[in-house]
Amino acid sequence: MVELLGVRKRYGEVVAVDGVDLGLKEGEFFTLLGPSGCGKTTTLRLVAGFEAPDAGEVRIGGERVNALPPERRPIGMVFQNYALFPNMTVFGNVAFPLRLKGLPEREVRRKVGTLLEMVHLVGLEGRYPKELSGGQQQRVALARALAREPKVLLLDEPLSALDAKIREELRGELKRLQRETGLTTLYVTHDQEEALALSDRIAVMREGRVEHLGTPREIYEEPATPFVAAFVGTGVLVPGEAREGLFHRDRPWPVRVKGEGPGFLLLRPERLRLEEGGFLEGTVVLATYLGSLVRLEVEVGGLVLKVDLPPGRVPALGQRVRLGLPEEAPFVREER
Amino acid sequence: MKRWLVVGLALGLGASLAQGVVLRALMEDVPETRIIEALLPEFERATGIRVEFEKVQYGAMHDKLVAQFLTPENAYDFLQVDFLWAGEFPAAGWLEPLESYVKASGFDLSVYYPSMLDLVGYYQGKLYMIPMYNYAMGLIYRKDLLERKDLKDRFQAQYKRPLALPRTLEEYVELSLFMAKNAGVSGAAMQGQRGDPNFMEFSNYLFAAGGDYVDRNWRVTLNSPQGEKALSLYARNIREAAPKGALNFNLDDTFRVMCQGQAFSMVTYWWMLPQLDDAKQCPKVAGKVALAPMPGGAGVNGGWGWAIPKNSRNKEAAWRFISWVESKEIVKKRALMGHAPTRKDAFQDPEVLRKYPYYRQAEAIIAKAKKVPIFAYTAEMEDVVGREISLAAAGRKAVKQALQDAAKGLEGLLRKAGLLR
Amino acid sequence: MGQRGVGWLLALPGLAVLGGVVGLPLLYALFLSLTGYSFLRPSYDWVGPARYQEAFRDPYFLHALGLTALYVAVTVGLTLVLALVLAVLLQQNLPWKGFHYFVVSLPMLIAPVGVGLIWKMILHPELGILSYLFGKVDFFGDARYALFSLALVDVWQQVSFAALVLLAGLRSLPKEPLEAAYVDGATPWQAFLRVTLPLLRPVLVVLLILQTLAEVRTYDLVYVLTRGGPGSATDLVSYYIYRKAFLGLDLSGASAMGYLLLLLTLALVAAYYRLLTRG
Repeated sequence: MVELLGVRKRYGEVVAVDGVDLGLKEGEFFTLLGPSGCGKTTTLRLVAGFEAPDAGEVRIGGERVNALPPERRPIGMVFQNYALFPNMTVFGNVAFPLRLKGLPEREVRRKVGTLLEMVHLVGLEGRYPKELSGGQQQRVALARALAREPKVLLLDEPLSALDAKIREELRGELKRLQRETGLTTLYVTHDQEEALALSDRIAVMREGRVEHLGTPREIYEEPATPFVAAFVGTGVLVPGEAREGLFHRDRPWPVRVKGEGPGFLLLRPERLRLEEGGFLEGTVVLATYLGSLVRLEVEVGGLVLKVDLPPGRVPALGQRVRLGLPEEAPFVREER
Repeated sequence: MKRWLVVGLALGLGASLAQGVVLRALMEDVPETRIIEALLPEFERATGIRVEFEKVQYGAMHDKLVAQFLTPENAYDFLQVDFLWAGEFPAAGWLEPLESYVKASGFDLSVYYPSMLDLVGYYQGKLYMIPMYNYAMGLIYRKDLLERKDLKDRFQAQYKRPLALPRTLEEYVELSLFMAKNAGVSGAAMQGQRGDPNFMEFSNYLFAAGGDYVDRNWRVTLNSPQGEKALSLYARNIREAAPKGALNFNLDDTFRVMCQGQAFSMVTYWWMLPQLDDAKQCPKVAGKVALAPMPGGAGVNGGWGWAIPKNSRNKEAAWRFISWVESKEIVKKRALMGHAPTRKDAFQDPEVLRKYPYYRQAEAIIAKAKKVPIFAYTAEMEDVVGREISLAAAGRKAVKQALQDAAKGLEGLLRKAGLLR
Repeated sequence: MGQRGVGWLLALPGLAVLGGVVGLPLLYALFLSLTGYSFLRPSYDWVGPARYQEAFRDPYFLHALGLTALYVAVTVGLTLVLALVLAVLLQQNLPWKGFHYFVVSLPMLIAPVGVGLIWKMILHPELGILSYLFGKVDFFGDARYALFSLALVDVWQQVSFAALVLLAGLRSLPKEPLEAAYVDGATPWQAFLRVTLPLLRPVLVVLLILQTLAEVRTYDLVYVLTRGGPGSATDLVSYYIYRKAFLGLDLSGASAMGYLLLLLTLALVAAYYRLLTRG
């Protein structure tokens, strides 16, 4: 549905997007994930048409759109700061794209009604944006983005300006709406949890390039690079070597890994346990209470490993503990 | 008797106490002021009195002076009074009467033309000013065009008389129209901008046609057959023989047009002649221009006078300066440096005449010049009458109606000033 | 002392200066306008509203008021439209941006009297460059064009300030609503009309107020370019009142006219202000 082929974009000295290849399937929820400055927003803006690529090709629905301005692309978009028209009511905002299309007023009313029902805003038609909460404003923005019946929905960090609770609520609704409408969706976020929860596929970006493209599960469980491993989820990267299927750090560890040569072992906190006679021994240096669990930090020979425990008997700070390793764990190496 | 004692005492004391006195004056920023400035060290050497000039553009002078008159102590010890203010300032009681000073110091008033003393000397019979500078108006014209063979022939054929300086106002306008049609230049560079420019210019036409604004008893005589003739001819000349834009021209504009050789004549201040005759400034017309009195009659008189404000702190020292700067010796020095004189003896001085031969015509102009009504509201009169002249010249009002309205406006001002009941 | 008290205390020096510099002269002028004071007879004899009644009976004053209304409408309207066009152009990513800014700010940096003199020469019907290029047009000498010519010169100067204010306004607008409009299918023109302009309204209204006030006070350009002529074709009210005061020496009459003008201007500003706060 959306394809990017070797797309590049630079602003003066800064290369924002450095040769990106992507393909979104019809009906897919696709996320661009990465820290700020990684090029994800520029990539989205290239799809929207606010920027023109310096090289490469952008296609929507099989059609090359490099030279098309945004208003001629079949897209809808939701912005981080809602971007509602402050001089128009809720109804006016949602009706705006429909009126531009020249629909008869009766049709406009009907459609706006349906859209506002979809985002649960019936009854607020007459309000102005400044009279709405952040969550409500973003629902209006969503309804407005859908009004034109776009082929692709673009979402630029739509939840990041909202409070945690509303963010989660709206996240669920976004997913539901996307599933109901079956709309191809390109989503940009720096929040890996959001990305994992929502996406069919994720592209993790770094310095203008796609570092790893895969399903949430693949990204989490088999990160392609140390960067992806560190950015997605929590974990500690233990430098070492893979040799004959086992991880070595001074000595062989009883952890099966894939690959061969120097690299990092990714130890996620939920995969480690406290265990009598565990392979590693260390000292508890920090315990953080997180409600549903307690995260211990244990110093082992110059490394600080993280271990999640059920809240209950928690070892005291300074106590010596032994850690049991998973039988198998991701092993990542620097490419290039 | 007591007063005379005081004055005498003051003059006597003044001579001894003058050391260290500094006189300040507001002066127009023109070459003449700089000429006087160059002579000031001489005055200081002779009297020990230092004189400082604050030089500003003409447009800023009036309001500055009025503001100082209204304060308890004037920042200026003496001043230059333009003839346009020569009614307003004395009427408001702002100027010191000078008779006693003249008598006490034996200053000779007989060296001035009566027309000058009438203009910037006396107001309602009392002496308030000493003439300083004259800018009466006359006709400046192009000699070369009057002598061109083809124009001579054509003029002769058309009017059955030789091409020559006009003797009447009708002849002048006729000639101006002829030049506009045949000589490839405008007939007259006219300053038609409403207010002072067109009022001054039109006044020459009015006087040349034998008309006047008021009679001896301040009764308005503007709305007369002579007035109608003057305004009709004025409007005709500006519409048919003047450069485009003349309805908004001021003195500078007319000078530029004349200087560029684009006009045959201009009715203007006589000091314009040396400006136009200057080969550096106006190479196109230098050597081709001449000065003559306004055809058919008197031109408008204009001038500046010295005066002392009533609220001056140094009246005696100020008078010493005035009597020095207007002395025969200094006036001649000024004249030789290019400052037009007002004293007859300077006009007739052989040395001065050798340097400035056209002073002969200038003297004739001054001797015959007539003044426009000078009273408290002269400036407003220029505005009111200027507006009506401009309306008539632009064809927005009939000549008769404009004259009638101008006369009515003038009468209102004279009434306001208490000159008419 | 409560918070309000402290607030008043802090505002006091400013209020005192404002009261001294603006308030007192205003009160004095009001007082003068009810007397027969003139420079020639500086006495405060009370005449009540007589000077106001006189002003209403003065056909040339009424003419000046009407002329000024026309003039303000023309200049403010033109200034705003041109400034908007310029501001939008300057906002684009043109090459030589600094140079364009400089050129646009230039008129603002010249004193109005200088502007008058420059344009006087440019529009000189005999010697001006415009007449040389396009044939002689009598810009200021023809009563039909004079007011319009004056307005053009004025707009030339005013548009500079107005364009920079609007540019600042445009720059401070959030970018997203405009982009949202594009995504919603709006052409640049539609987006400008339906999103940018409404967002810019507060700036436009403030500018409208500032420009109206500036134009009502137009005096220097008339002084330099036309002196109110030909006839009374450019006799704007501020210039008229100036002459009443300094040629007519009639300070009380001028004060009365000044007060009438002040009231009219206040009414206009109040109307604009409602435009700003509505919606």
